[in-house]
Amino acid sequence: MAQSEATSNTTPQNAPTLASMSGGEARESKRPGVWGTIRKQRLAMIGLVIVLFFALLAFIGPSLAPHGATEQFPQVRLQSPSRDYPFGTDEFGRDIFSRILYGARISFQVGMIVVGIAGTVGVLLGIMAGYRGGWTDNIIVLLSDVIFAFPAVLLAIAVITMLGNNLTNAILAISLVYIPPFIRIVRGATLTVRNTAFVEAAQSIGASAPRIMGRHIFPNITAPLIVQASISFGFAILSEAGLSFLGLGNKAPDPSWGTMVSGSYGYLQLAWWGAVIPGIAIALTVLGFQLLGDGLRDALDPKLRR
Amino acid sequence: MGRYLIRRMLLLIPVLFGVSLLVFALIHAIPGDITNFVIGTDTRISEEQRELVKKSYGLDQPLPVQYAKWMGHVLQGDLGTSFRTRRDIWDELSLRLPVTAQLAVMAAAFAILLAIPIGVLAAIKRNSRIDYAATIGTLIGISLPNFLLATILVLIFSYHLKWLPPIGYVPFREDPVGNLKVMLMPSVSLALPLTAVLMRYTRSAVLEALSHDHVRVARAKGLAGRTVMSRHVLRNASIPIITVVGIQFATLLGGTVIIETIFGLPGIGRYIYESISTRDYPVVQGVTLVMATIFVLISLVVDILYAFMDPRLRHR
Repeated sequence: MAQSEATSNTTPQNAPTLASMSGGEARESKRPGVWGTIRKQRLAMIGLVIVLFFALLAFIGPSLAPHGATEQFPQVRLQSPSRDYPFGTDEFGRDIFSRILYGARISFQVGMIVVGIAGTVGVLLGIMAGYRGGWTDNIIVLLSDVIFAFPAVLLAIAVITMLGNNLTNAILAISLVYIPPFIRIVRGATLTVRNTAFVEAAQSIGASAPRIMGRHIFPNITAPLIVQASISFGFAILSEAGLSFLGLGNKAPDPSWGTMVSGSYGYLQLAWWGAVIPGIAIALTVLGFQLLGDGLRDALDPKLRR
Repeated sequence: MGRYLIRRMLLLIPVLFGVSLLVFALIHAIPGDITNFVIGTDTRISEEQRELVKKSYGLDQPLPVQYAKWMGHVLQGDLGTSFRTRRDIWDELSLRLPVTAQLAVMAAAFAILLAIPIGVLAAIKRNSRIDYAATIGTLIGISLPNFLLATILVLIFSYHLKWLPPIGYVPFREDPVGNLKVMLMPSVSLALPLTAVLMRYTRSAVLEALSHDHVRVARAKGLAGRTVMSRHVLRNASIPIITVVGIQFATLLGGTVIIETIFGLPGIGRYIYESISTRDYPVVQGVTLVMATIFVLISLVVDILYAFMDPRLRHR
């Protein structure tokens, strides 16, 4: 398919390795493992710390929250950050700090489910397209091109309109949008593995196609998959924030970070913290996954090791 | 080259067909009686009246027939009429398209003017402070939601400095300066992700081009640094950069939904957002199709440009 050829050409082979230039660079002779390579990169380590911190918040955050997520204190509306309310209060007198803690769990769920669904579907279709080739390949690539033809936000909005406006459907919509990149990456990686000697050997002893795809191809394409998963995790959170900012997906009193920004946007002049602090929480989390993804790319892709 | 172009253009047909099918399927898979959205759920409306409404919209016919009819109209430039306002969708679109087009072009211009020089500089002075700063800037730009940047800009330039209006729109023809004033913050917010991605790709494309042997040869034979840069490095680097601009344009179009809603601009993004919240399905169907088609056409143009600029593709 011409388009996919052209587009895959466009991704430079040595994709930018932002993390690699930050810390010490791994020496080829020492052959450090994945962990060793990551540990030497300052930016990747920062990313890992952010991601771990975020995951921890998602699990134990709500139990640390001093107040309930939707608990209102009408006498302290729009209060600036103070000792009692570290991030201030919003237009209903809700504690923004507590809401951020609860919101972390929502964002984490979004990232997990989106990467789970888009990754699984993308791996199945991508391996099939790459391994079988021919018509299977053409149809899967066309399908992925069609989905890719929609601006992501727009497709997600259309799907939410169809399925109904709630968080579950928003997650499904975002998952659909994130399938094509997974298909592309997995398909590309499968194409490079397909003609190796060990796959030919498996074919010659009569291994079935599903067995070859599962046992011989899949384990050899995990590196680009993990990188893609990390980056998609962050972007899925960003997408959900954008949708809930528009009032799509998450329902109003629930503290999705995007909902918090849009809810407080109207009170920007009186209380900037209501909109800005949840926005920064989104940006930091996405940044963490970006940094980690870049670091993993450097660590897992031996071609990029310098 | 000719064959490549023809193949690439022919590929448009299945993609656009698939796009239209998906749009149609999305709208028609909506559960519930579609007439509820046209005339409401009032129980005084009899079954016969509902049937009449269905008939007038052609909703009583089998889905394939409905699809064929819809496509027939669309191909003649007729996108139908809005449920809500009863106005022609194409007329509405042509009023709003210029707003979104101006927004997208301004955003792309900001992104290109900022990202390419910095990206080139970062690559030339690799591992310098400039490079490091550009890297950090890129990462922040990719991670920052555009509505957060919009929020911060409004906070500073509208509420604190009171230089720019936080919301509203003035057509360029009525007041060019006022128009640029209202479009400034929206286009900067919209430009953010494109700028970040473009900077990143420019840097790596220039680094890649610098590493080629012919650059070393050009240097070795004593060509001036400036000539080597413009003729051998930037020319090679420009190919992937153009492609990234093209691909990222889709993200830009999608971003207009949020940005136009924040700043109250009467563009396509806000139009579709409003249609969705009022469940105006013909509009959602028509506008989604138009936006997807615009994007598919842009990626076609990018691929063709790519083919023209890359001599290796020209001989295919």
